[in-house]
Amino acid sequence: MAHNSPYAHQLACSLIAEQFGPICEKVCQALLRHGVQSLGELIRNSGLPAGQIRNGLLVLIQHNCAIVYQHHPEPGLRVAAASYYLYEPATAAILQNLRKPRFLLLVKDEYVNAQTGEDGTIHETIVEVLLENGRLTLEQIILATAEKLEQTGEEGRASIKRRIMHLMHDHLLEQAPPCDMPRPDPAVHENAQKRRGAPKPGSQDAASQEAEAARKLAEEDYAKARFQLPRALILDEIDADTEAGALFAASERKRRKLGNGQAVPGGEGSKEGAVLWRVNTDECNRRLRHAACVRLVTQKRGTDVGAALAALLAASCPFETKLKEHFSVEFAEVDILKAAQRLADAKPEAYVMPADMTACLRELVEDDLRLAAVGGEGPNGTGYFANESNIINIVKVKEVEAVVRERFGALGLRVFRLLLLSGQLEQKQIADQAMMPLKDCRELLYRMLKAGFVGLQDIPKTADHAPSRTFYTWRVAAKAAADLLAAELYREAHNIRTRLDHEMLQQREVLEMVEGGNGHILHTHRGPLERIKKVSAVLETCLLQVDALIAIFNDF
Amino acid sequence: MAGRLSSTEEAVLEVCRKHGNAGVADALLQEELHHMTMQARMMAINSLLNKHRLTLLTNPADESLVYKEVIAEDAAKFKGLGTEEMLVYQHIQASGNYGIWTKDLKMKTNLAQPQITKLLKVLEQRSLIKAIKSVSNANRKVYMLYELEPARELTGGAWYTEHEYDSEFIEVLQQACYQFILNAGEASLDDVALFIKEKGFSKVELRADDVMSLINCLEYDGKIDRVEREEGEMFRRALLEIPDTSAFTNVPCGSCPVFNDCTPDGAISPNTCVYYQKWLDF
Repeated sequence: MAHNSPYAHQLACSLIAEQFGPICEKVCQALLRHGVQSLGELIRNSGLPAGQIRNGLLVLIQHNCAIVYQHHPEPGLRVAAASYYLYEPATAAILQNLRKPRFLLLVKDEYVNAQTGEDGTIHETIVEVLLENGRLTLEQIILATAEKLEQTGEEGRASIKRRIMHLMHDHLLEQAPPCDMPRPDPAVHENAQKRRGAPKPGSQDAASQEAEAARKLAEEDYAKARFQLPRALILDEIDADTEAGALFAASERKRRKLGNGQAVPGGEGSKEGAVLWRVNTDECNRRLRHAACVRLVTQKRGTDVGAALAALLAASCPFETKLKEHFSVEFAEVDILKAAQRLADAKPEAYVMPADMTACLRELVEDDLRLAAVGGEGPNGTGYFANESNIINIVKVKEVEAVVRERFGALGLRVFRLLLLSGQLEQKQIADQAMMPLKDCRELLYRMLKAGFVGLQDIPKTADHAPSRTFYTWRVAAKAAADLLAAELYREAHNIRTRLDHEMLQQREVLEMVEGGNGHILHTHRGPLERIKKVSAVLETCLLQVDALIAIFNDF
Repeated sequence: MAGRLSSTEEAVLEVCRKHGNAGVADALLQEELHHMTMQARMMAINSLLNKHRLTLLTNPADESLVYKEVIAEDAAKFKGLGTEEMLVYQHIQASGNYGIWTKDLKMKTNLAQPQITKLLKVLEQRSLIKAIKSVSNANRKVYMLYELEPARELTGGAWYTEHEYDSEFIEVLQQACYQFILNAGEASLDDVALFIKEKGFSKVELRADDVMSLINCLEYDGKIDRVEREEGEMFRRALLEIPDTSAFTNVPCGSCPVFNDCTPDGAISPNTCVYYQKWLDF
């Protein structure tokens, strides 16, 4: 995973340093270097005083940059060992700090609705408040948003509450996980041998099974509570008898019926005030991922087919649990049409209903890139599902091809695609098929090998591996190339940020004068000021664009 | 023309002329020239062979030897050539339009290298043979008969002009093919081949597989797609284009040759990077 590459760690530390200062940076550095650790280990590893570490950790946890687990060690012979907390860096979340502007734009865009006249500003402000503060209670969110929007009256509060409900309902807000969550087991390879039969009571296996069961229970509890709407909000809405209230009254009744006396985390009135909410970045990324899929399909098959896929993905979105889902949920044409209608009603300017949905879906299924597939027959007719991971892989390949063309020229791209389409070839075959002189071809191939875009395999005719009696075949290392690019993107982002800081530092004097409101900016300062404005605009734009690529290669 | 011939020599040639292309076996010659002693006949035949007026051939049916008169032009061509020159000439002739390398010639003729060089020079001066450079082995010169057209493998086919890979020519043809496919919407291999032939882009005749390689390259360039239709394989504009630029390479780091040596505090660092300096120099 490129999240754990040294460059990603460097970038993560610099982001933390910028946002939260040097102490948090040191704590983050120690966490990244040594992985999951207890407070004691962290004190030893970071060399900071305990008080500073505690404060640093609190800031990191508050801003979702560190994850806390409660660890229950296996009980000893005489006495049960006390549980303690473990801290893990949330590297992916830290790195996604770069994506915050895109998240805000996404939220604003999602809630523009021509029918209700909604422009998405309040939704955006709520998310902005949460992104600024990490995690907040419901009351804190309402207060901070109202302050920001300068709508502190009762009406303003009610409208903010309604928007918060929208965001919660669409899973864009989630409850922060409780601090006593057990640490998830490291992922075991699927081929790892599974034990058969029940372990002996009191054995180590039995203990680990119990721990596993406890963990699952805690995870299930969190999964249940994660998107649970706060009761206070729902009751408010029912009282107000608004449209949204009616919408959620049903879900509240269902919840009461299901809960039926059971303790649901965050469900009790006394606890509810303490529940912390945060932005669900997974949901934001999922929507961006879907948008990337739709962009590609629109480019290949036109707006109508793109619109059909957009409707299918919009229908599937609430039901997807993992970010990197291979397939969307299956829907019949009728349901897809309904979703398309909803989109068209909400955004008549941005979304146009496909004229012939059946034809568009068929086109998606029949495409040679297998964009979608036909599922089973349901009550509403034949089901369709999108091949999401396949589409994202094509997006990745296209991006890699663009990079190859920029780095190695048109001939480099030709050789790369030739190998991608034909598999494994010898040097002479490549030169002939790509119509280039053997000498140039050899040079190009070795340059691409060095950069990690192609691989070389030797097939010896004799056991001594003598070069004269060996075939050398070339092939595209597609996965390796994508992984390499994924890591290099972090490095590039870090470089851009370093350069930006450097440029800012160089012009510190002028910038301080401007910030200080000093009206007497000398004529000699105008030039540098103009330049630094341009430089920062260019670098920041590039950083956003690089982050869009980081998302494709690392998160989608 | 050869010097004057003796009467016996004339008589031998007369018999050969009588039997035309089939050639005359020694037995037949003896029968026809029964008035001549065997010695006189042999003397005449040897003399004629020396003068290149007579040639000795092997009958493929029974491996017997037959004599045949050399036609007048050939006789003029080979006039004054010694047996060694003829030996080299014959090996070169046998190699056809693939040509033969001097090293191979040396092995086959058992002659010394300097001698072969000398013989080849003589033959070349008399325009009997020519030297051709092979595209596959640029340093290797091969010899073949003057009048032969070198084989495709030797010249590299249509894509080589004077032993140099003609990238410009290929580029022009590819562009033409691409434009044709764009204008046609969908086109088959035959359509493209016909278009190129009609427009007369190429002086050399392009075979179907030459055109196919042009089209394949367009596909590898990501410009066209290959689609299966009822009427066969068709080509059309690529629906999925490769992005013009990449966010990765828009920044100097994306194509930096010292990217891997760059560290924030090192000799090469983003702060002192000359590529950034150039890029941000508005």
